[in-house]
Amino acid sequence: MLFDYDYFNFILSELVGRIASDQLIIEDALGQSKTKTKAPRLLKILVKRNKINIDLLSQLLFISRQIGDFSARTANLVEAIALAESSFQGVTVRIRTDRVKPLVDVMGEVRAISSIIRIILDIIILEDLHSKDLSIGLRRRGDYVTVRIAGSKALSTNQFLKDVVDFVDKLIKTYGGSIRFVNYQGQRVVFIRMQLSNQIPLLYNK
Amino acid sequence: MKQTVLIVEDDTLLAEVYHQSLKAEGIRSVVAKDFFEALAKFKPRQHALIVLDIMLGQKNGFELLKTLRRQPGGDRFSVMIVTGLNTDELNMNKELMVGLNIVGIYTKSQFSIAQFVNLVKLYSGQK
Repeated sequence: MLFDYDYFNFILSELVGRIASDQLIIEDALGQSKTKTKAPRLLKILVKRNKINIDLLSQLLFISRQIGDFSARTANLVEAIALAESSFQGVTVRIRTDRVKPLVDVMGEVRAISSIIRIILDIIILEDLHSKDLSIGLRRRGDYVTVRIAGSKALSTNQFLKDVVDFVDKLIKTYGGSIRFVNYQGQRVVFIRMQLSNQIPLLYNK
Repeated sequence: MKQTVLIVEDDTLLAEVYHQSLKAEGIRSVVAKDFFEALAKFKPRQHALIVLDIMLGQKNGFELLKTLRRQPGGDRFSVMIVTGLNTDELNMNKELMVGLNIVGIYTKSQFSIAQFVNLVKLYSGQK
C-alpha cells in the first residue's frame, strides 16, 4: 500500500490542534467560576471529547507504526474486538457473536485490527458524544465477515471526522476489507467487511 | 437594532461554547454550521462581525466569504477567521484571502475563550 503521509500528517495536525483548543477552553472554564456555573454540561462534554480525541491520537500513532507490516497474517476477530472495547470509559460496548463461530479468523494483525476498530468506535462517539451503549455484531458470510456497530445517533459529521473515516477506510482496504458509514433512520450504523483468512492464498497467489 | 455576531463553525460543540461565552458577556450571536446555513442566516444589517472557520466541508470559509461579500450590504461586516489550520497551511491559502477584508486570523489552539470574547468585542465595536 502506498501510505499517504501528507494526508496522515494533516489529520494528526488537525487532531492535535483540536485537543489543544479544547484543553484551553477547559482550563479557562475551570479558572472562571462564572463560566463554570453557567455551562457545566458543556464542560463535561468537552472533557469527554478531549479524552476520546487523545485516545484517537494514540491509536493513529500506533497504527502508523504498523504501516508496511501488512503481511499475510491472520487475526481472531473476536479477540481483536475484545481488545478494542476493553478500555472504553463511560461507554458500554457489547459484542454479539451469536451468528458466528467463536473463532473467526480474518486477514490482518490482531493489534492493528483492534486499533482500527477502536478508531471507528472513537469516530462514532465523537459524532454523538451522548452515546452510552454501543453494540458490535458479527455475521459470517461465505468468504467474509461483517462487523456491524450500532447504538448511537447519526448527527452531522464534521469535515475532520469525514477525513478520519476516509483514512481508516484506506487502512482497512490493505486487508482486503471496506467500511461503510450509514445513516439508518437517524441512527449511525457502521459496517466493516473483512476477508476471512482462508482467502489469503487466493489473494496472494493471484 | 442591536448588532449580532454570526458564528460559522462546523464543530457544533465549539460553536456552542462560543455562543454561550458571548451570551455571558451580553453579546448576541447566531450559529451556522455550514456554507448553506450561513447563507440562510446572514443578515447584512444585523451582523457586525462574522467569526468564520475555514474547513466547513464541501465549500470552505473563503468561498462563503466571497459569496457574502458580493451580496447587497456585504461590505459592512468585519470578518475574524478562527481556524484549526496551522500557520503553514494558512500561508498556502494566502492568495484566497486577498480583497476579502479580513480583520484577524487566529488559530484555535493558540488563544483562550477570554481572548476570543475580547477580540469579538473589539471587532464588533462593542468594547
